Amino acid sequence: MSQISVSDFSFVWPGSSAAVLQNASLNVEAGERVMLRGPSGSGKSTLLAAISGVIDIPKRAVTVAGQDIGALPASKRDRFRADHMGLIFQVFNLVPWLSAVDNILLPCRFSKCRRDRIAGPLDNEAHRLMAAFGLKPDTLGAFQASTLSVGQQQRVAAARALIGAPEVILADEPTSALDPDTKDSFMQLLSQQAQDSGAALLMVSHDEGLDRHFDRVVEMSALSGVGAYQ
Amino acid sequence: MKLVVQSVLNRRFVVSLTVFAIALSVALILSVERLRDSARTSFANSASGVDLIIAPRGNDVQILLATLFGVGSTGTGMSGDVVDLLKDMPGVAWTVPLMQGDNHKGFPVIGTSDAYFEHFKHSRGKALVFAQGTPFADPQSAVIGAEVAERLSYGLGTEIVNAHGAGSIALEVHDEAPFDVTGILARTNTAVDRMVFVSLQGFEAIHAEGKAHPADPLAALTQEDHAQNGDDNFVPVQINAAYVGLSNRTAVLGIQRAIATYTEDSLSAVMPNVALLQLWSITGTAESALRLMSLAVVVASMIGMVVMLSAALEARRREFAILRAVGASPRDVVVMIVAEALLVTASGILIGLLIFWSGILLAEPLLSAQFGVTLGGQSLNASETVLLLTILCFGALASLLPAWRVYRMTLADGLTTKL
Repeated sequence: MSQISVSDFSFVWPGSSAAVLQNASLNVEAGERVMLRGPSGSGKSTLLAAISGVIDIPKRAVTVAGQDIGALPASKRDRFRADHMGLIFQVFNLVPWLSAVDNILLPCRFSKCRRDRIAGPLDNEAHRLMAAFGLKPDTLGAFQASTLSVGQQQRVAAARALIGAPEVILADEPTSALDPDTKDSFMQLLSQQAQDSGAALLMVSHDEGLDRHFDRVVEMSALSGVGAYQ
Repeated sequence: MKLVVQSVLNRRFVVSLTVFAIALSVALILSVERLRDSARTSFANSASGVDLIIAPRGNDVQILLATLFGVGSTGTGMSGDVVDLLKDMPGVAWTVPLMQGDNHKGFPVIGTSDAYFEHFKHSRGKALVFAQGTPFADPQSAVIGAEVAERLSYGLGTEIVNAHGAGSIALEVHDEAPFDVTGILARTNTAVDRMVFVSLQGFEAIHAEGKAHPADPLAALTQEDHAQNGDDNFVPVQINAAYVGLSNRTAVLGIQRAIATYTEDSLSAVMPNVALLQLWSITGTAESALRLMSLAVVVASMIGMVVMLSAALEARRREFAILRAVGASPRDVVVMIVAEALLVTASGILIGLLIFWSGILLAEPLLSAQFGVTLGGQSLNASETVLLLTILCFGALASLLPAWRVYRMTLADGLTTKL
């Protein structure tokens, strides 16, 4: 089943004349890991915004986990995102004054759906994910997020995206702030965990060296999209 | 909600400053209101049992303050015969003569007769009650108010010496004529609590001898003998004022006319309630100004809170974007801001109440001793509760401004955290 389905999607930012995306189409299956690559301004972030439901889009253009995103009103999209998507950003993923564990559990505060998918105490699941990402839950779990290193923060963010097993993981250049060694080990872990949870992973990046962690690499230009830079 | 608390804890320094500002303003406005209410009630209670005050011609308010509250003094004296004259007027139920001008360690000393304890009413018709002892037994007897007894730890039989003048600084001490405490009045929460009463004879004796022979011990002796031999219907040569109780309220006009046309002294007949209204109209402007100021302080502290919330918005932009990414809607973020404002305002009010209460605890003995004003304890009356709820609502309302900004901001920012 296709978890993310973008078909014939065009988008123009309000107030701008040129289309960022034109007739873009993309499918990501459950359990599939796809890297979306393209230079800045090629519409990668716009596509992620459309999939995650932050911007208003037309109906029948983007479907996530069987739900037409364009058909939902803004408030439902927030709820839907909380229930079905995990997001990882480039930097500043964590609420600085919350502990690592509290950060990981944030989606569970807003989504009953994700809370319910966790068997057993929430803290145990957060600890399990921390351990899976190579973080010592007993020591680092209680640390305030702002005291963690950038590499640790990104792993906590990844654990947060995965908690409660959402259908879709969206990652927006999560490795760009990491040095080459940590980049690779981070991708290794993220890829592995995404596969284990059966989620569809869609990551945008302009990094060249990470291809081997993905099932498929799609160039932005191949979406039949017309980038704004052109 | 837990998020709000944690977020606030993270900014505890700035937040606690804001809470403190609100607390101070709340304490201030409560104190101003309470002080005003208590002063009025207390004054009205002190004045409630006397229908007319007859005194040498002067300002009504001055006469009222001097006689009922022992603050300041009336002008010159008037003839003691006035009391007899009044007694026989139609509609007059009772009269009480008053002599003033001395103090005992700052407490006003009143020379009067037993009629005072019999007729004087306070707090809507309550009579004076003796906690211990009895009225004047002889000219050297003194009766003291509850506050006096408590503050100076006096009991029955204590010997007291009065000083000339109204202030607490003893300019001239009548130590040659001490009084014995024979009675202590029960607490009334009015000015009576801080008064010292002595008999007319005793009061007159010390002054007569003082005036006539300041340094002649023999003369003093003869004067004292005369005083001690005085009978119950002693009429002093000069008195400062007289209270009049009416059996028929409509007699007021007749008495006032008689007083106005009395030729021997020029006199005033003051109705305490009317004089109180005059007093309030004088202090009203100052009261309003004080009230306005304390309201302004509350508004300023609220603005302070809005400033705090607004200033934090920019710094918290990232935080909001993250929360949105994990599923918070812009509405959730707005709720967080309003909840934070409510939390801050509510804690401010609570701490303000604590300050207010401790203020009452500290100020009550002082006010009670100085002015016979009691502050009415810890419980909040209806108007104070309404005031506090209004402040709380105002706090929530004021937070809508930053909340609206954050709503627009989160909508515009979306999930991107590019700063």
